[in-house]
Amino acid sequence: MDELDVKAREMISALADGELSGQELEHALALLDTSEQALDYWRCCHIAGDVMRAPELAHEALAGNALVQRLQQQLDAEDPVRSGPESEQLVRLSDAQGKPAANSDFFHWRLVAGITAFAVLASLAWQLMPAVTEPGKAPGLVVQTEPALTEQPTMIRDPRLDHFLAAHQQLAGASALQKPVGFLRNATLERADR
Amino acid sequence: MNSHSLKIHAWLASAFRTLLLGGLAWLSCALPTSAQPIVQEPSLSAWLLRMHEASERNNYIGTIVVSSPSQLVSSRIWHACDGPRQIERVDSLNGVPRSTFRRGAEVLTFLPQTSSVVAETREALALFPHLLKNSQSDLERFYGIRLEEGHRVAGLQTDLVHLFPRDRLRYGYRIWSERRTGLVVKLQTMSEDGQVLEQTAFSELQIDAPVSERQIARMMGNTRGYKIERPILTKTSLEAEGWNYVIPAQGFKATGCYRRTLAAEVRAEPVLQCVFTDGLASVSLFLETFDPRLHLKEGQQAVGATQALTRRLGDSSRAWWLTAVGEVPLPTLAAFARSLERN
Repeated sequence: MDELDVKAREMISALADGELSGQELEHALALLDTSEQALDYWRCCHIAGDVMRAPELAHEALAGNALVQRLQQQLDAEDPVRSGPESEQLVRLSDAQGKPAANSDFFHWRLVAGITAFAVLASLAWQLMPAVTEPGKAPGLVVQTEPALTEQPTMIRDPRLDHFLAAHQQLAGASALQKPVGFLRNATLERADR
Repeated sequence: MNSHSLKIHAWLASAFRTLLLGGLAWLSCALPTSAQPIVQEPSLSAWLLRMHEASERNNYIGTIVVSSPSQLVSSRIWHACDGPRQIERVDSLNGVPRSTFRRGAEVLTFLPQTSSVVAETREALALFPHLLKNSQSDLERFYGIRLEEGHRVAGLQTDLVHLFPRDRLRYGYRIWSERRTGLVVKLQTMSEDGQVLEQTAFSELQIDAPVSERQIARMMGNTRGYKIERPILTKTSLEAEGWNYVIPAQGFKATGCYRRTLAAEVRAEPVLQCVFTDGLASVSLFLETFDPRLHLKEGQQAVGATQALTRRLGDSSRAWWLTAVGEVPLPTLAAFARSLERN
């Protein structure tokens, strides 16, 4: 990792954030193609992204990290009683892993998000009411409003979903755009753990 | 009829043909230029057919990037044509190494880390362009077309075609096709409110590249040292599986229903997958017996332009778990999920 300079790290980080295009994008992809260190840093960026989105994914990633495991063993072997200001700053990894992070999928967050979403949807529904009730405005529209959508949405992070997405991409190829670009898109997106 | 009357008949037919051709020739020369038939803008089907045929006529090598707010992945592409045969290779540039080869509807995915190859036949790939030629009106009923000013993509001048949905059941698409060949070089899936949900674009593309169809075919055929896996798909139908189903969104048709095993899952019971399409967007419904250890909570997720939701169906005596996946707005997917009823 030391061999990767700051500029290269910034470039890979920008790639992970979807900010690159044109020649910069080509350079970043070429770097990932040729440098193991770059690929390691790319994975780090994704773990950081996962932490932001789902702390439990980070815990899984940390659990498999040999460095973290060695550190954990060393901490376990040391005297647990400490004094001075350092001890207050020292956070045991095991404790940290057990506690929910600030962005955790916690009930009160869900409650706040649910109430906010409900308020926004109620406001939108109020504004759109005349258009919806006017007949003939939306020819061909046969779908009813989904009642569940006005409730608190539950985001799923089911690992099996990846398998379903892969199965969908394999069989749902009956599109006019499939040969021109759809197949390339699906093959690029398809998970490797199929 | 005697021989004399036959001769008269033949002479009259010949004279009539001569007069008709002469008249037409005179008309074509005598009419002013403004009376020439108006060259209309190509229809949606004509654009799609042009893009489809471009992929059958051009060799190219390039790098494709699929991006959305939640992901960014890329692949290296080699595409070759030899008359009616096309073959292509897609190498993933992210994550676990993977090479996907396609020749017609035959697809092989090489996974070097596990020394395995997944071999499949994707029948849906063979449906076009026949559907485009035979049912033009269907797509045009549900999507409108608007030509916009294209810009340079991967250094190539393009035409930009905006396919916008005529209702709120489906997404729109903006397609950049290379001006000379018609090859699709960039595709954006647009939400109902005009946001880009997902983009697939070539970051670099070399058209007419010296790529050999035989060379790719040789690589595709070289499976020595690899374990070949063929997913087992058994054709069935929702009716045969005991379900009543009325497709809830106009324009969508069922293209296939299969009992299949999910990859990387050793499960005794295969899942049921039924696929629907309107010609551009697709929806898959997956059904399996409810298992409280696996099926923890109902919910939804969006990955780029793909929406997914899970629902428990049935009652306490017998229950199923539905996973719906598709490149459609969530209310459309939810309508598909609600339309399933047990016989």
